[in-house]
Amino acid sequence: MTELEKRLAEEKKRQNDVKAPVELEGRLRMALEKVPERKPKTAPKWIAVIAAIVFLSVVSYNYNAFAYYGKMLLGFDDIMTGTLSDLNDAGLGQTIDATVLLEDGSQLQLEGMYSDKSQFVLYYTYSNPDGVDLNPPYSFWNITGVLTKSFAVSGTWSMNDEETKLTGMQSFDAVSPFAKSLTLHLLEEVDEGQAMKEHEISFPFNPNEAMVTEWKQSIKKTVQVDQGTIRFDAITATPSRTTVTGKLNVDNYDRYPGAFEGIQLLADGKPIDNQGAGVSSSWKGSTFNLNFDALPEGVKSLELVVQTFVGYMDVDATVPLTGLNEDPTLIHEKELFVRKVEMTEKGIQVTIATADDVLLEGVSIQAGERSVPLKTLLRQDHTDDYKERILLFESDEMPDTLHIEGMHYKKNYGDSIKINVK
Amino acid sequence: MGFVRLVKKAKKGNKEALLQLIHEQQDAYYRLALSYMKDPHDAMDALEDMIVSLFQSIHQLKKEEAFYSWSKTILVNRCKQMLRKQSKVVLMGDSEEHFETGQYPDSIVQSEQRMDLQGMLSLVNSDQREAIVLKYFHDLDNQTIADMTYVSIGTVKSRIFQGLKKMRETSGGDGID
Repeated sequence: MTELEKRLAEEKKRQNDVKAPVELEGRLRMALEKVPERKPKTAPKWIAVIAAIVFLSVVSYNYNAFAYYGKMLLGFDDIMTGTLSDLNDAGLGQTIDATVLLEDGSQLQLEGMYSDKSQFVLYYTYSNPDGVDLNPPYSFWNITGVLTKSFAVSGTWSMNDEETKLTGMQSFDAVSPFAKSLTLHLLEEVDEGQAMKEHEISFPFNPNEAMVTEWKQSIKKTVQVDQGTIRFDAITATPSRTTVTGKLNVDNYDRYPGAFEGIQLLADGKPIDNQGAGVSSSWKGSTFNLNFDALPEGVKSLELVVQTFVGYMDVDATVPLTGLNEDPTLIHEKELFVRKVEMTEKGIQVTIATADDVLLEGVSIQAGERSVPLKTLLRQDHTDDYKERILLFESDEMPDTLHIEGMHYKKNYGDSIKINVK
Repeated sequence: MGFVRLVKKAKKGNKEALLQLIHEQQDAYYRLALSYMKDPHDAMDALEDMIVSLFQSIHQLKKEEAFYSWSKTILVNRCKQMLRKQSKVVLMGDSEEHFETGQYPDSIVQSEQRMDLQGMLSLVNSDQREAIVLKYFHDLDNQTIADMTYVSIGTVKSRIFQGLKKMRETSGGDGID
């Protein structure tokens, strides 16, 4: 094997660390479920009759959304975030007592759940007297039940000092209040990861205990940003979480990480903790959801503020590459440091540094009359406040200047939207 | 081994069997989709499209043993169609943004060495790069790569050979940097 092939093999090994997201399986299943069967079977009439009876009985099922006092879970203090821990202290939740034995002799014990209109949270312990692996052999797949198919979303856990017990929580999409019993589907890696074994564990679900109410309000306001619009559609608040949903029509929203962190939700003027954001794209466009902590009780005013978001500016700037010193060039108040210009076998390499949020567009170098566009980025390092990168240009002439057409950056917008609180 | 039996079941329209087949290699499918689409969301969309196409056309699959190369060929086609729609740059594009979208730190670890290799990869033409990526990163055989890229086996071999040669030359001999 040549050196290059070795390097390719190493890169492949590294890429093998990239695993499919947990929700992939669920997404594929959903996609497939929407496809009609190839050979449609004609159902006898009695099936339709039964379906109608079931439907009627489901519709007439009532649950009391306000009587939700259940039991308090003990031993999960480490992994509960503030709001979930408060809800637990208030006794909002339901205990479960179900155990799964895994192939390696360890056991997974389902301890409790919390459920509302925004999410379903499962509390569990994973233990083995001989020690447990921080990288457990199981993965949560989904929860099924009447009108319910909820996929695993995210989880967190902590390990005891002896490394024999892992205490964790896993959140899922919300489950239906009509379910009387829920089934957790779990996948366990067996044969050293060569195969998967599916476990199913059913447990009773009492929405009167585990379910609490929600508040929903439409927003329907649009904020204009440099490269498009952010449309806020609705806000949903449950005792565990507040979610803002909407549509995104912004070309460059992913030009720097965490663009959505600059959007704040203020309750009575105070920001609510931001718990993350998600964007999903389809041919119809992109939708987003912003998750915040639960709203404080008795909130009187709510406001969404687009404090910062990704912006774009035509800069048309020319930066000298000769007579370098340590001072930055200012491009519309953003610093640009040119650290090094060198000629290599691959071409001209220019090392530059900017603030973390700055991404340059349309970069080229000029030597006399000749202009050469950026070929590729060779390396990028993050130092304390700066992002340093090496740009490669296919040229064999030392350049005089660097030209930049535009710049994506974190821009202050400050637009604010009042939300009606009733 | 139940693999052929699963494929036969899937051919009869059994969705669970098809899901299980994909599940067995889901990381490999995901990585393949990601290498074309770059964005995890788009990769997932491509995989959804793929499984629908597989379900609709699996009864036409003649050799059960060829399920994986067949399905991956379909995946690559879906990715390319989506990219054409988005009119994005095909495979390992060479603009600055591909390296700078640091949105998914878990899936894209930007080590220096990788940058160099990716830098070198970006120096060969897109056909050569595609063939090298499919062969060395996704373990696909020459025939499958030929099917995926609509060319003959000979062309695939030559693209890989010429591409590797160029990478060696630009990096100054066989020892890299």
